[in-house]
Amino acid sequence: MIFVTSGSMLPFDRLFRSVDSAVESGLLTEPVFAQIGESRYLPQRCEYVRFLDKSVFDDRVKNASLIIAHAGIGIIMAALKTNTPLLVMPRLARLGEHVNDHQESTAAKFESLGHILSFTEDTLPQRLKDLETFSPRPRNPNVQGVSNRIADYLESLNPSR
Amino acid sequence: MTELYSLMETVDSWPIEPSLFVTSRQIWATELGQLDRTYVVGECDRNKPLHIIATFIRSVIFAIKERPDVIVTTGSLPIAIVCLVCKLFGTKIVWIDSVAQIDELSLSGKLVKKIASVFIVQWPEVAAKHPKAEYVGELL
Repeated sequence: MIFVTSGSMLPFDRLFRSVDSAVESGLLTEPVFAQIGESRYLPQRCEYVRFLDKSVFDDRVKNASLIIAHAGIGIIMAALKTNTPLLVMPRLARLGEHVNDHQESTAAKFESLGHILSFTEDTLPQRLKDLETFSPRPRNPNVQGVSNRIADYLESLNPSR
Repeated sequence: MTELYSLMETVDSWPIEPSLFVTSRQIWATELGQLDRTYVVGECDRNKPLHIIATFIRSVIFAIKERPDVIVTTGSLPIAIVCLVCKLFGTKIVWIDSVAQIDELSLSGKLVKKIASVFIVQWPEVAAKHPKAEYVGELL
């Protein structure tokens, strides 16, 4: 199952049009399920809903063989957590898809770190080929580093402890 | 909240553990599970001046009642307002800007940076742009 999601904020018709095209031209052969949020475009080639409960959403993320999504930090982290390959299309401000272009930076950053792949309408066929040999690099956050810095600061306030 | 939860898993090793919580939404207060010591200051963003005022008023009430010694927070704007108000009462601020801020500080981070005692960012490239910002790891 391929899971397509655009998050819950502004519409992102372009993502769902691309996926429909890809299914139509035979580039995507697995069943596709989409969570379309506020999209005005209604998918013709797959089952879809507008919104999902968190537990259902998490299940979809975990069980998908591939996730195709906007370049939101939430879905990126969710995909990394379950080691599900993620292909993102950044929302663009000039197309009214977001308030700024930070999704382009997000996509570029996480792609350069080997965690995801990024695409536009034109590059989708190539990216789907690249996915055949793509394995997401796991992210190993150094939470203890942040925690220790804070602990050290708190210690400095209470040296008698 | 995911970033905060990630941090909270490590607080057992701190010399001082959290004794109060402040959040912008009631639903998160419920999720945190410490309702008797959680303040809710309301949600707001830069485009909603009336909400900002409401959050400011709740922040003043919180500051006067509790006078926290230290606030440790992952943001965002409502809590930045809490920080600004509490700073007037002598509270020390430890701010952690979001992991989503890949290129630049958040707006609320920019507001708090000058008054923070510790200002943490989660990308080395962002730390490189701001002398006061420290990269010491990441929460997600």
